[in-house]
Amino acid sequence: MGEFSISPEIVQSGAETLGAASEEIYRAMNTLAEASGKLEGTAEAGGFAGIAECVQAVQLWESDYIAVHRADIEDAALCAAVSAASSEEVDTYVSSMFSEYADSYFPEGRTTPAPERPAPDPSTQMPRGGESVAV
Amino acid sequence: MTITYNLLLEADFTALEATGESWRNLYQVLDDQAAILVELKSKDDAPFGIDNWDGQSGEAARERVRDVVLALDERSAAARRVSVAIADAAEEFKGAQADLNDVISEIGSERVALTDTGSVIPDTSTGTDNIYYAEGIQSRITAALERATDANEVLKAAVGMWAETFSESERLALAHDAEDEAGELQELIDSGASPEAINEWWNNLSETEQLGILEGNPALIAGVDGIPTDTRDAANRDLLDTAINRFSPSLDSDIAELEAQLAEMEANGEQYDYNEGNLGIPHQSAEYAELATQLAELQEQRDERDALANLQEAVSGSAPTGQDHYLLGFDTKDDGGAIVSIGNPDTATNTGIFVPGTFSALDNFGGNGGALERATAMASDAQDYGVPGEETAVIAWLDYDSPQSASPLEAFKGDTWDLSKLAPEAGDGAAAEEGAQTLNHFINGLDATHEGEPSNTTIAGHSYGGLLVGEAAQDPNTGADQVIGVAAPGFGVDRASELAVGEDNVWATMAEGDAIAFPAGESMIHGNDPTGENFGGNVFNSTASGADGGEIHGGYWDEGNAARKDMALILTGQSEFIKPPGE
Repeated sequence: MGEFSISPEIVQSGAETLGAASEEIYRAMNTLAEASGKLEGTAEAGGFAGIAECVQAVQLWESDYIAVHRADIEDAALCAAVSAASSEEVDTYVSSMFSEYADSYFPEGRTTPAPERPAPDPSTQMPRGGESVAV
Repeated sequence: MTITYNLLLEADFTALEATGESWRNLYQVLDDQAAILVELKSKDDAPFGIDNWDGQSGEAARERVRDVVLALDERSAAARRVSVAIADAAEEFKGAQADLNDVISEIGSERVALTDTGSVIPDTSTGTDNIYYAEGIQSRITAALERATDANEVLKAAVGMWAETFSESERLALAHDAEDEAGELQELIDSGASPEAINEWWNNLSETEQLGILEGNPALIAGVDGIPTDTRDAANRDLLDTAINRFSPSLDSDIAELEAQLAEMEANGEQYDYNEGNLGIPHQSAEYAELATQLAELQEQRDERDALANLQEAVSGSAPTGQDHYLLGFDTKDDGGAIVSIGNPDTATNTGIFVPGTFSALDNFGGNGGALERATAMASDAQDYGVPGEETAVIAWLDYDSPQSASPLEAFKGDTWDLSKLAPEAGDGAAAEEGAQTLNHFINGLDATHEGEPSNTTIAGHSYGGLLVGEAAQDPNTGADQVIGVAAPGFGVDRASELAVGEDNVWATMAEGDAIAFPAGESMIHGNDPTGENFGGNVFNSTASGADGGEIHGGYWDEGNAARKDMALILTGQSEFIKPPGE
């Protein structure tokens, strides 16, 4: 495991894959619940203990097992989406903070001379408004 | 609960069948989605791969996806089993209903009267003949009702168990009801019964009894040759889950804590004892030594847990061929091992059994270049080059004590000598001879559990695994039809004709520059070189894939290696299409 780094768009696409998976599973479970619904209250479900167990199984899976799986999947999707989005926000925020504070961050506490960029050679500067700023 | 006459007669199983279909659809969707999600982290450049998401949050996300995939995989397998149970039950119910209708339609109303509840009353006005006739009719009706009752019980037990609707007491009752049968099986195993005998006994149990043994005694059947693959897989997965869960949840943090303690002692100079009596030579303090021992023990547990967790992950979901994985065994003793099939050998037309060589262990079984990866490549090639409509199952088989040293040079490890490795284990054929017996027993088990026409079975060994399959093929009772040696140091014989499969069914390859080519060609420790002119048998092409002899030795399953296509042709019974070496 290395330092934190993230490709927000790609991770976001992964989050969408997770979301799509949850929807697919939801649809399949719904189809099963509808099919099983036709068994509920029938003479077959009343007389055959095995068929009654089938009805009970669908109810349990719909309300519990599959619901939990979908919650886990969507939780992971949210985690990924938030990580992707917040990393972008943090990046934007840090860059804005940099431009705001970079020059004044060490006004008092500096123990070594502030590094200075070599001054440009005035003769290489473009004239402004038709006038040379070289002094 | 007994199914009554009227209930069976009037029942409509259309909705039940539709429900079974929907369970099957749910299984397929869960399986598909697990396969899609595993791709999110399968490679470094995958959406959640390390290239796109590094750091703690990325690691946590990969861990979450792994857990989700394992859970979906388990659930999908359960849904599949429920769908099969419903389909089987519906067929039985309809069969019983048809039996009942047949009887009713055949009843001679002038001889007997059939009541609304299914009782048959003979007309005795003309004598006693009708009494016997009525008894015959009644017994047929009873048989139909019993057939439905049995199917009903099996359906309840199967759904209760696989869909996990059973309460703890119901599960215990299911297991309890099969205790006598479990005892019988134990006696059979202890008496050394053959896989055929075990299979015959198993098939005579009711499905409820089979489920009861699986529920109550998975360890009893997990490793038994002759138990059907699907059942054995369920037992092994159950045991694997239990084995992983027995490790302390705080194992990683306990290790980190001990490491920190030891590091602190080292930093403070407390790892040595400077007290008098040491002749002035500092030695490790008792406390430091104790903590270091504890750490080593915990690290060993962690390695074992990780190897099991990796195996669990490796057998989750479908293989790239679309075939299911079947876990037929695993073991953590010594270097450990596992048996995993890609595809169901009980129903496949062809079965390949791949035996890996030296340095094979549980912890590298499912990794890159491991036995499972190579078996998966063979299954994929068999699908690409095989006969359309025929399935080939390929089994990665590591159920022997694989040598852990091949050269005396391995005895020197940095600054110490491991004297046990001065005589390399790979030079000794004992492990291969012992493993060959286990392998043949396993093949006999597959023969017993195979449905329909016998499977075309090929045993393929790499390196030392080649020696093992050669030893197995010497047994006149081997169930193998063909044998392949890939970079094998020998088959344990000097001539292919000495192998029971017949020399036409003996195949070998050795790429130019393979590190083992010299031992195989010259040493004759394990018999003549299987690719040599005097050996007999058949030689097939392979490509020297790798920069040196070691890489070439491990490169036979690399993409594009000529050996792969030829092995696929052998596995799928199409060896007539193999071109002679060099062509």
